[in-house]
Amino acid sequence: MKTTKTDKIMMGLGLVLCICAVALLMISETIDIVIILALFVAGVIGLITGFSKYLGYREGPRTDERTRKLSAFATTHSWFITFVLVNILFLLDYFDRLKITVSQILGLIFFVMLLTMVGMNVYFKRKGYAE
Amino acid sequence: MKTRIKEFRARYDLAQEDLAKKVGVRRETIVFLEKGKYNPSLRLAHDIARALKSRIDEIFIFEDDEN
Repeated sequence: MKTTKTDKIMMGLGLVLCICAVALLMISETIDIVIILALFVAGVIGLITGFSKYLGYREGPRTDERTRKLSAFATTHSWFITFVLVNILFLLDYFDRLKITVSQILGLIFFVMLLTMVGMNVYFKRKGYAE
Repeated sequence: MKTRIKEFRARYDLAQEDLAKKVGVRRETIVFLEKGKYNPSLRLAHDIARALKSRIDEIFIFEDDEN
């Protein structure tokens, strides 16, 4: 099956992000590891998304109303988990239970958003339906 | 929800893949529809009924206690 323009963009973007993450890891000594990790994860997701057609999705349309519904469910769950995390972080900071920098928080949120999004997508796609 | 998709497919000698292609969905969606695990949109139900030369209410059967 021919690779679409979107696939190529996703793969290219993924590769660039991965290279940036590795380059940052080698060059910068001040940047937080969480941010580098988040960049790398985003890159890997881009690569996987681009390659998805070759990983078992060869036949038929790539999306239909069921898969779009599943993606919407996954996005909603991911958003909710991130929202809960932000609230927990806020409360921990408010009651002086945790000392965490802004960049660490941003990295953590970025990481959690990506992980939960992928995780929920995998879960709902395996389940096959969401009602 | 119960469906008679499988029965109608057999009647017209259509594979899941063929029906999926006709209505523009993935084969897995037809699988879940046949299992009664996925409620299709009115549009998809209409397309499936048309592909199977039938009516929506003949293909998709809702139980009385379902809401």
